[in-house]
Amino acid sequence: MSDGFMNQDLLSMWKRSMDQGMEAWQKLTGQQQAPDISQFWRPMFGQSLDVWTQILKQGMSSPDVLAHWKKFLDDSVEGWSKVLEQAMGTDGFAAAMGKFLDQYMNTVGPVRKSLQSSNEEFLRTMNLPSRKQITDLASQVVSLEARLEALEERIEDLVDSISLLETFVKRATNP
Amino acid sequence: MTEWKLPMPSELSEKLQQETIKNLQRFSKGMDLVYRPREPQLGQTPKELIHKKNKSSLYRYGHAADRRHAVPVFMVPNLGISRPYIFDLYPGSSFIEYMVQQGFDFYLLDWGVFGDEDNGLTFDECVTQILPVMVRKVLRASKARQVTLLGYCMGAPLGACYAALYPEAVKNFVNMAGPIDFKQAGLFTTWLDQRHFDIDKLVDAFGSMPSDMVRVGFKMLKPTMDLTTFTNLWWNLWDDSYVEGFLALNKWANEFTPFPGEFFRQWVKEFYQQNKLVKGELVLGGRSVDLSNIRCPLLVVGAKQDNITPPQCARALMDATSGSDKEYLELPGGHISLIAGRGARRNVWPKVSGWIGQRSQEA
Repeated sequence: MSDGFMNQDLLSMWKRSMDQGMEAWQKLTGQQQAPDISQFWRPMFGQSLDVWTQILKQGMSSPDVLAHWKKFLDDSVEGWSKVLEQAMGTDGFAAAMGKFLDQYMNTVGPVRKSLQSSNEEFLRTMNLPSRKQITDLASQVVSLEARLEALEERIEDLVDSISLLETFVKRATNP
Repeated sequence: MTEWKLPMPSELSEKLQQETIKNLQRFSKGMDLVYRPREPQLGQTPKELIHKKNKSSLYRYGHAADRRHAVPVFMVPNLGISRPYIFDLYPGSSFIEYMVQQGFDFYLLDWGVFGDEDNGLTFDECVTQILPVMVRKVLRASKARQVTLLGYCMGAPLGACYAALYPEAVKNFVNMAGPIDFKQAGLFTTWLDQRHFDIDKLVDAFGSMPSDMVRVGFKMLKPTMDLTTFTNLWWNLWDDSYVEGFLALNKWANEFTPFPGEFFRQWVKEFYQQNKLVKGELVLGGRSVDLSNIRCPLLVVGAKQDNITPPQCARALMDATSGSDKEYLELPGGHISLIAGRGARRNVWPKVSGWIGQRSQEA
């Protein structure tokens, strides 16, 4: 009897903590609708209940405990995945992520720029080409390649036109 | 009242024996993987380089004797994100090998890995400068007048823009899991919303979209994916064919590539944030991209559990084009399941090749 009460208490405590957690999560993401946490626990409990009912009712026709465990694990991971997907699909999450990225760029951007300029300064002092100079050179090579390709295309078109003309002339002279 | 039965000791012992053997195999093969890592052999279908433009290469697959269809298939994959060897993973599990076996003259555009010198490359240039050259090279090599354009993932909007601007070169168009209506692009639509995501700041700060950030973005789409992958690996470690597939796919899944800065800026701004393609507001090379110019036969393939291009996002092309021969297929699986894995070979490739095959006779 007292065990029953204790279990009941534990269950209520668990439920309360889940509700509080959900409220906190809602506040954090500014969500109106709470993610459906039952999508996480329902497959887990449903699956394990099914497995044990089957085992106890029919005997272990397939006593593959590991397979049952694997299915149980897959279902719970899938459940978590759905909950996370719901939470991450909110505007609140996107705003929080955007804010984080913004702060990251505010910090990293100036550091990168100052590192780049000091590196370039150092390389110039050492009389070595900087990354920017090499990149510029590569861009020039790329544009040269594009111009060559355009020329090649025109030559190929000309060759095609000439062969077409040849065929035409041949047909005209030998009807 | 239910009668509870306990397992027979003989059954239990037999099962335990089987499990013990399987676990020993898992352990030994796991150790083998850790201490003698082997590189998977990828992209083994015979190919020939037809053309190279900056980082991008055009490959032709198979041998002349095997080609039975008059219209060549030109596949345009995504630019950035990942490498295209997923389409030719390993013998028996290769989309390209399958298509070659079906008698297609198959061409793949490998966009390549772009560096800092390519940060000025735009989506516009890809559609109006690179794709036209590549299509001309395909036509020249195959001596055909038109191509079947097959776009996968981002390759589909790239291909759709091309097909809308140059419809005369496209005999058939296939969109495999390619986003068209970006308002329905799932988590990416939410995350890249202009209220939260400052694309200009990112590109101005980094110059490009670095591969590490691409990795984070894609891993976040399904944070439990790695856990599932490795649990499944452990579970199937005793099976050599599974491990072979895992090694190949895992190598691909962890090799992310960067986006050129200006390309990514245009991609996020005009597609995800402004959804210009489906609204008919996109202008490339000074010309308006009107999807209703696509009148050729159209096949759209969506994947039910695709979280990168949800099916409705790809399906939007059905309503945007104006041809009469249109078909939509929604198949089980996720974004990658359309192009790699046993399910793809069984459920997707035969349908795609059958559809293209029926429409591959030159007029």
